[in-house]
Amino acid sequence: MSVPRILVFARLANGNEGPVRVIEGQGTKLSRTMHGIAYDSVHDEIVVPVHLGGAVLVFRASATGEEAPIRIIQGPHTHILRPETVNVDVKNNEIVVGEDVGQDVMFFPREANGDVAPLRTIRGPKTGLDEVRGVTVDPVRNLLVVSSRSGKGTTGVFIFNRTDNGDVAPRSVIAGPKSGIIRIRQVEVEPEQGKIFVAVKNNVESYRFADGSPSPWNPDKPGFIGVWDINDNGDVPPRGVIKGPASEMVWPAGVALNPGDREVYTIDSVSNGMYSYYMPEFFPAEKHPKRQ
Amino acid sequence: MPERRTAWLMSAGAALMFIGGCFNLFFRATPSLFHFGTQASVASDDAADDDDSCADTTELAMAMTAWRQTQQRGIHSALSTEVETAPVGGDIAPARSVVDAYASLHSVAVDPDANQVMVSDSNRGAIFFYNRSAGGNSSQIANPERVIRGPSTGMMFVAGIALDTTDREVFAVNNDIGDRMEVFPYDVEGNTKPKRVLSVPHGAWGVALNPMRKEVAVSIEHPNTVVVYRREATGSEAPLRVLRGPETELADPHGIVVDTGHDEMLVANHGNWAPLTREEEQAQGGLRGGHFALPSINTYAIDAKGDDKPIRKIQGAQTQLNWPMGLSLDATHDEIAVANYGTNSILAFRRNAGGDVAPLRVIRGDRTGILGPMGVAIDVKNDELWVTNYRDHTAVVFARTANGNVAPKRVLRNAPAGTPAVGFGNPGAIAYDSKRGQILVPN
Amino acid sequence: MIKKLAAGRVLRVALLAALATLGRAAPRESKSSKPSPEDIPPIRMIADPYPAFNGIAVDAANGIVAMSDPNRKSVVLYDRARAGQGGASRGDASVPLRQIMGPDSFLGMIAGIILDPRRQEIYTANNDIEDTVVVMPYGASGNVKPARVFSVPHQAWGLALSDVADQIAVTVEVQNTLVFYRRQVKGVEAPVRIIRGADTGLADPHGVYWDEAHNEIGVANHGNFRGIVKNRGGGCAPSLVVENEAEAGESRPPSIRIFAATARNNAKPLRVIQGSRTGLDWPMGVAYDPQHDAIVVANNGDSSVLIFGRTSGGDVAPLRSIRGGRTGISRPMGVAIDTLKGEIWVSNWGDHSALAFDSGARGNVAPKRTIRSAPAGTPTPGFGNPMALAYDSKRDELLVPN
Repeated sequence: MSVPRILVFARLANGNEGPVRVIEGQGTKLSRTMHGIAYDSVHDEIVVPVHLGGAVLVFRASATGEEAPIRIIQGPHTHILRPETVNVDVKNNEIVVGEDVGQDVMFFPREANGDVAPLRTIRGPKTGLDEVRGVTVDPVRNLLVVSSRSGKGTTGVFIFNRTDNGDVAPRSVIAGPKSGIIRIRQVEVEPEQGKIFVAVKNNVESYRFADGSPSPWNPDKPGFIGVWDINDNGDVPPRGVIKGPASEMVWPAGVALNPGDREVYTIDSVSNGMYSYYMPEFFPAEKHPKRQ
Repeated sequence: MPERRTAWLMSAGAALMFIGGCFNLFFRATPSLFHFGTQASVASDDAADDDDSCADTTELAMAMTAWRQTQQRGIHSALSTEVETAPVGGDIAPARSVVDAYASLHSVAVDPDANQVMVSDSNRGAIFFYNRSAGGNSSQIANPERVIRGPSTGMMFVAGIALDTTDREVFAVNNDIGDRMEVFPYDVEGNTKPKRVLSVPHGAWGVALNPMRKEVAVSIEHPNTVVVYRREATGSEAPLRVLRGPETELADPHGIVVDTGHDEMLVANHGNWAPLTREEEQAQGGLRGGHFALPSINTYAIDAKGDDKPIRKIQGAQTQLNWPMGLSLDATHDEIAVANYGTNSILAFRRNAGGDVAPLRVIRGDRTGILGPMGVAIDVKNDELWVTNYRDHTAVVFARTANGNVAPKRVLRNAPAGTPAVGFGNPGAIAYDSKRGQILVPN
Repeated sequence: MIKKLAAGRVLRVALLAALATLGRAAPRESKSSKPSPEDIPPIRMIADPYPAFNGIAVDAANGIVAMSDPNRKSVVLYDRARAGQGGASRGDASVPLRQIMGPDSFLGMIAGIILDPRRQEIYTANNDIEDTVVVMPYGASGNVKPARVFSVPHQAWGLALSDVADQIAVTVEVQNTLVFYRRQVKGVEAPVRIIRGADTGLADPHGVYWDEAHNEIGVANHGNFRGIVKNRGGGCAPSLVVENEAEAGESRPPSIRIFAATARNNAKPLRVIQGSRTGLDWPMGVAYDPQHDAIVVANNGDSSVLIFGRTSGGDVAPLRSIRGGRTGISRPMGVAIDTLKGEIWVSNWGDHSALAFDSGARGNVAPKRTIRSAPAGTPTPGFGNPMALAYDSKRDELLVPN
């Protein structure tokens, strides 16, 4: 928890198993509250937001121990306050940064280093964005997918044109009671099928001292992994879910995809657990030939 | 929706066919007609018992007994030809899971007079009370004397703890789920409501008591703040004062101690700094952007507030500071100890050290058993120094003046020796490295 | 000026943060009488996060080996030839071709598993929770509905299929019975026949094989006999007076009982392998090896595989056995014969592994290949539908029966 670090696990790790390596220490410049992480398979790099340092760090993907980042996006020209989440758009060679308090999404050149201005910024009342929790790009359809949580406004999935800039309205928003989204976190896109995978955290923390036996969270609204079509719009139920007591999820905060092995990964902040699901129904064989 | 209606008709058809099938079976079993009648009633009588209480002898009865049980579990839906409308997936058990089955050892505090050691567990949200002499050289788990945990305690991602050894109270702060400080009497256990609960800002890490001024100070990572409350504060009580601002040089503060002898307050900083809000930055004259400062131990006047400067700082290459976590003050010998996470070491400094100074002593090396130290506590009475390891399921105890690569006097384990520490702490994101077949999780 | 403004703002930010939690932490004493405690996380837990193999079946023509996994409640299919190579040979977990798992699959506490190569179907028996046999197509993967489900009596364990008879045989532990259904059975159907009664000698039957060449069926018995009970109109109770079947429970020696494939009701077995020289000790899965005209037994009790001549009877020693530290056999549950490739497959309950031996193997020999559901050395809790627990305060140990 209160230790900033990037833990690396073997894909097949299971049980009370430790990481195969850890990136940690002063020299890494990591801080707490890294609510996003992206692996760039083309350039073999890891990108993380550093909330408390107002920076985006890029590491060699094989980094270990107290290894310094190879690039840092930080400084007044970046317009970054505190980055909440990140992703990499390999096709268009951009890093996408989402901010919670900053209520915005910014695009930087993938190779940006230092105090670099963003290429584009989506920010303003028309965007409907509040606390941005997840960002991802569909390079096939040229769309930007944003998860945003709001106390007053809309909590849901916001879809923009990838090249939108400024105070623009989203093309579509997936939100509402049928969607089941109460609290929302990391998002990923599976571009082959045009599916959006969302870590729907829900399960609002609600410790009420006056209660006879207060529960620290509201278990009536379990978190889940939801799958929507990228063309969905409005209050639509998910087309796929992983949800329920067997799933062991309490507060799924992150989601990652491995279509080759037909697997979905989630990280749960309350149970401090990482869960791997084998989901062939999410990754049809014709779209995703089995990895050998 | 015609599709749904078709599905309904098809299930209704299937149900009729099933009933028909039952009649068919019924008549095929005419020699056992009487049996069947009674069997059916038996089936409903003990339908609640899903165990093997009843064994039936006729062929039909055997089938029916089994069917009764499958009906209870709704197997008919598997047999129907219902058109799929529900989302794919469902309540799928994980193919694999990585969870630490053991508590983590986060912060540590010692009360030598009560002969107790208290350890916070950020993995499951608990406080463990051990006898001060627990552990030793066993490779097995040390039994705690008591554990406080459960929903009523309100503890979630509990980080720092502090003791009031006079009034026998434990203070614990929740880091970034919970946003509360809970106060428990020494002698409670289990799912106990705290004696007091106080709302604190998001990202609280360290907690320190000032018995002279009857105050409690809490360090807050996210807004680079130290907040000071009345010792007895509860609910949403406002702080007495807040230390925050660019002149404070607070940057991702962690461990905090109060020195009542010199009316000072020491705070360990990781050095991460970022603006909080756009409006605040504009008020300050424009966006400054984030920066990384060197880690430091900053000392402030006990009543420091607003944008007050530190009196002195331990900072620089000589200090060896690297992700300084917990702090402990030894007023008797005028020293402080720092849990220096980044180099798996404990650094001892003179209390009033300042500038780019080397530590007085460093406990570091493969013999020490220090691995990801998070908490440190000096026990002057027994001349010992306690260290909690976040990267191992251990707390290690040294002579107070230990120096260099020395073995601990005792090891307290909360998992059998060799058990990996998973190391998740409120993790919020995940990525898959398809090249290495590895999963990346930042805390 | 700017600074002063900022300082005021700073305090407000901190206060707002504190006030944000106002509603949830106002400490007032409660009159609520909700039971307490409630949602308590375990202080420790034991659960096996890996698949545990029970039954095993092989289809060389289609290149697959399939295992039933009652722990994670799944069926796992591996490449017969390749799964034991590469990383698996160095102790890594093997990569399955497919895994069938999830609430729609109706896979639960599954035991016996068989493959129908002709129709490319998987049969697996839910033992003592779900009381069904689930039929899946070979290509099934993930959370899929079965092709068919049929109802069987409580505690079904072993399965055997005959193309000739077009029937499927199911052993039922608690009822000391072999139940036969037509192959295409679906839903609830009366069995076409049963083998059951005092003369059969069936006692806690487990594995079953169907030897079509010799028109015989063999059944492995643990020997636990609970007495045959009769329905007396008001429910089921031991039949102390009604008719003349056995009543009281007893512990009999384990046995392999071979019946005519057409036997029914209270038929006597053709031959019985039973007695101290047989070495039988909790015989689980059984299979017929036509190449060696032999009966192959997963002898769970002493972690061995026993091979008897098909025509053996009485108190006979096995022709050979596979046993010892090098074999990797650990509390075996299932055996399967690959007649095309001349191999014996063994599924271990005491380890996360399945082993392929040459079908002529004997003694303390290493397996040709090992399929692992977990990295080598991973401990095996071994829970199987556990429902009771005791604490030994003297040894500070927990006792769990399955």
